[in-house]
Formats: sequence, structure tokens, C-alpha cells
Amino acid sequence: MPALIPEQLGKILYEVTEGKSGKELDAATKEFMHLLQEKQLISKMPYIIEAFDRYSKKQQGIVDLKITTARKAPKQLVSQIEKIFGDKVETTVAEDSAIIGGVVAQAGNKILDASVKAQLSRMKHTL
Amino acid sequence: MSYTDQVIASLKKNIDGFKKGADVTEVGTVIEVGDGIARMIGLEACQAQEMLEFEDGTMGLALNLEEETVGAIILGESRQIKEGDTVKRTGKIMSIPVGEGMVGRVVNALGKSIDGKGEIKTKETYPIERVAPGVMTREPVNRPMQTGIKAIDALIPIGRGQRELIIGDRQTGKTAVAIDAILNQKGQDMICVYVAIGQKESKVARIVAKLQEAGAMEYTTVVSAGASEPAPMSYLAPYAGVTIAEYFADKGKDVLVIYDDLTKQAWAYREMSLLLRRPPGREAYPGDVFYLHSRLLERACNLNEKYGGGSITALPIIETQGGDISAYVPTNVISITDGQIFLQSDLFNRGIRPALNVGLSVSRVGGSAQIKPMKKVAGTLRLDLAQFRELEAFAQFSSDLDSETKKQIERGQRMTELLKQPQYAPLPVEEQVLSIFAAGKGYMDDVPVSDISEAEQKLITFAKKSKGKLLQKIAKGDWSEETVAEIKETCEQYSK
Repeated sequence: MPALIPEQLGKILYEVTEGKSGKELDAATKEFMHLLQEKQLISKMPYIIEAFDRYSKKQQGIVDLKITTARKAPKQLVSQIEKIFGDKVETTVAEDSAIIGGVVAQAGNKILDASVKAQLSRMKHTL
Repeated sequence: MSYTDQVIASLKKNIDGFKKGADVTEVGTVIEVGDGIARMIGLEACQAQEMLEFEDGTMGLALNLEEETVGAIILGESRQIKEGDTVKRTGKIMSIPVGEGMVGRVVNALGKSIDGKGEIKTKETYPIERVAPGVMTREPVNRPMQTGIKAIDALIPIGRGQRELIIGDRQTGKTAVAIDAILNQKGQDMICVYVAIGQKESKVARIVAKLQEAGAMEYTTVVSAGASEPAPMSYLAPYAGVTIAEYFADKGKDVLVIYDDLTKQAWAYREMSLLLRRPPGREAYPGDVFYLHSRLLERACNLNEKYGGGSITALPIIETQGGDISAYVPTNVISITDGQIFLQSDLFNRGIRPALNVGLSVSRVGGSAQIKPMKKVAGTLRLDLAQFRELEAFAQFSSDLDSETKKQIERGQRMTELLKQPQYAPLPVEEQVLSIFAAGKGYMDDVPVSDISEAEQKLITFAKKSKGKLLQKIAKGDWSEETVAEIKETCEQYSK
């Protein structure tokens, strides 16, 4: 059997801790750490936390939105994009001059690539 | 408007015509990469056999769809791909360009030209994996596919749409048989596809040069996945070859496809499967190695008139180790194909070339596609050879044998000698009929065994010079008493 991957461990962590608090929560996380130790997966902790974060947001219906622009994005643009995805949106805004211009919006597994870089490469393909 | 303005205007128009905007694509993240394999998370709606695009533009092919991950083979250089890269879905099933432009070219497993003659202009693309034609679209094999090799055309005839395996150890002339078959298709209205799988580039170059020299590249496409290319290319090459062939078969043409060789494809597939962590089975091949070859060879077909009447004849090649035809892959392919041509190294070393083992080679469907004259003369040839095989052991005590046995041995030796044929010298079927007839009826009994091929040469030259019409009649399949009498007359005239 292939080893457990961070994605699955994130899910496990969410399921064992869901709706728990205080001592119960401590016990659950301790159990989880035991599992990681047994499977020699403690080094994968950052990835597991990332996966856990993704999964719990998905369960709560929160859309994790990442907007990338070439220069500092105007507030208006960000709020406009946020509106499209509904009210439960957590947005991170990043700047990356490599995309030349335009905007790239990523929500979970879906990506809307309206950057100048992508359009140029597409133009290269069609011409 | 000046010339420059016109050019600028035209350029502007072209750029305006370009579709702007963006579309939403699904992405995933690479979590593991190595040995030409990548695993990624995300890509939830990914389809099997879908093309994926990595960040640096390299393409991948999704093969394993698991609960959380997708396993893909990387088609090209994998050193640029690293953990955490995003992977885009393209929504396209793996396909390659097909069309008339492919003829005369050398392409790789993705249909891109590698012969330095520039890009291939084609309008259509076909998916690499296609379901084989169904029952209602086919008809039995009924037209011959002449290889130009006497031993094969007479004893193990191949029909258009047949799948005939060429099997043997290394250095037994497997490729030579296949190349001769291509050379003999000149002027037969056939398209040939030669698929070189995991071959040395030098060997492929030599074959292409030979085909060019003989004018055979005019109707041939070479698909090559070299030994230095990654395993996925060797795995894909046969499917690419048959896909190119299918385009022509759909247009009603007859196509000959040669897979040289499928053992290497099975090795490549084994490598990929093990890296994708599929459970190994016998000889470490994955469980679906039979399906790997059966779905490829099922695409060979003889379509009926309603579906255009095209055909794909397949000549797969399998290399055995130490003559072991009961290994896993050889037995699989033997059971899939409609017969096999068995080449043996001891025959090859004895100078019997092509090194055909007449006893173990069979053609299960080709007999019905033989032309009538060939059917008639091959009957006596088969009998003579079978009797000779039984008596061969006694050949050394020839002085003690009765005259009847001696005669049979003498005949058999001459027949065996007659079936020898040099490489790159395919014979038209009518000339084959003539020489086998002459030997079978005893016109060559007085010729010493060592001079048989010379005598055959002379007979053919004589017939070509003075009996051109007769040869044409034979080629058309005429075997009336009149024709037979004329052939007899020719042989008599010659032997005097």
C-alpha cells in the first residue's frame, strides 16, 4: 500500500478534531501525533497543516481565493472578484511581475488566467 | 496604401482576430516527480488518457486516477518539473496529427517530424487510442499481401488485413523480412508504416536510407521512438503508427504496419507500470500486458465495401531469448495474431536465409487470399518439404537408400535451396510461381544443388524476355489447362 499522503492526513486530522475542544481536542491531536510518529511522517507536518487548512475551509464552504497581479491591485478590483465567489471568501493578494499584466485568480483547483503572459503564450500557439 | 502599410494592416487584422480573454482551467500540484513519472494532487475531474500541461510547457499523459492523486507519464524532458509546480488540464485526449503529409516522413511517437524536412502540414488529428472496428464493419481476409519472399508467399501466405507475427532470436533476419515486405509493395497501391520501437538510431537511419534508395519512402512513413528516448515514447509509438495507418484505411486504402518490435514496447510498459506502482505479475509485467498488445493488434482490419474497403495488415515483430517462444509476451502475441513466421538462428547460421522454420510457421487465414496458381504450386512444395524433413536424417547414408527415397531427398534439397533468397530482392508472385513450378515438376532435378539459384535466375530472365504475356496471365490468377501447358512448355524449352 502506498504511504499516506498529506491530503489524506489533513482529512484525518479534520475528522478526529471536528467539534472537539479542551481536553478532548488535546487527546485527539496527541493520538494524531502518535500516528505520524508511527508512520514516520512528522517531517511532512507543514504540508499536512496546509492540507488540513484547505480541507476545513472546503468543509465550511469558505472559498480560498488567491489573486495575483503584476502591480499593486486596486481595492475595487479585489472586491469585485470576491463578489463573484459569494460571501465566504478569504482572499490573499500577491504581486508577481512575471505575469506582465492582467490578473490571475485561483480558487481551489480552478484557475482563471487572464494574465498577459498566458495570453501571449496562447497567441504563440495559435499563430 | 504603400506596401509596408498593407503588411501592417494585415498584421493588425490577424492580431485582432486572435481570441482574447481567459478561460477557467482546472489545476493540480505536483507532489512527486522522477523517472519520467509525476504524481499530483488536485485535478479532480481529470480524465484517463488526458493530456496535461506542466508549468514549463512539457506535456504529460494521465494514466493513473486514484482517490487523491493522479499519476501521469511525462512526454519529454522531466528535469524542469519540480515539486509544487502547477499542472493544467487541457481537456484533450492524447491525439496525433494524421494526413497525406505523413507519407515519406520520419516522425516521433507524437507525430512530430524528426527528419529535418520541416513541419508536417496536416489538417486532422486522430486520438491515439481508438476502439477497433466492430464485427459488422469487417470482412474475411480475401486479398493477398505479397511479401516478395518465396518461402512466405508460398507456404505462409499473408492476406490484407491479417496480423502475422514475425518471431525469432536476435540476428535471425526479422527486420529483413519486414523491410523486404515494404520494398515489395512498390506499385501495389499500398501505404506502409514502419514503427521502430526502442531501436538504435543508427539502425533506423540505415533502414530509412535503404527505403529511400529503393524508392520505397514514397509510400512509407517511419515512426521512431529511439533507445535514448524515455519509456513513454516506446509505449506510445505503436499506437501512433496504427493511428496514422487508420487515417488511410478510413480513406479506403490498404496499409501495411510493421511494429519492430513489441518486446521493447512491453518492456517500456513494464517500466512505466512499476514506476506508477501498479502491482507486478508474471515476469514483473503488469496484469494488462495482454490487453496492451491485443487492443493494438485488433485495430488491424479488412473493412468491407460499406466502410470504404480499406485494410490494415499488421506485422508485429517479437524477439525471443534463446529461442524460447513459451515466454510470457511471445505466447500472448502468438495467441492474438493470425499466425507466425518463426525464424531460427541455427537455420540462419546454416545459410538458409530467410531462416524460416517451415514446420513451426503457420498462417491461419492467409490461404484463402492466395492467388490460384500459387495455391496449386505451393501444395506440392509443402508436401515435398514435409517428406524431406522426415528423411533428412538419412541424407548422409545416401548410398544405401532405395532410389525412391533418394529421389525425395534430392528433391527436398533442391526445394530448400530454391527457397533461399537474398535480402532486398523481393520477387513478383508470377516469377515465384514459375520457379516453384519448375522445381516441383522435376525440371531442375538435373541441376546440381549448388547451382539452383543460378538456374532459377536464368529461367526467370528467359521467361521475362520471351514469355511476358504468360507471366501476366499468372499474375492475374489464371490457372487454366492452357496456361499450365504453356508453363510446362516454357520449362521444357528452357531446360534443353
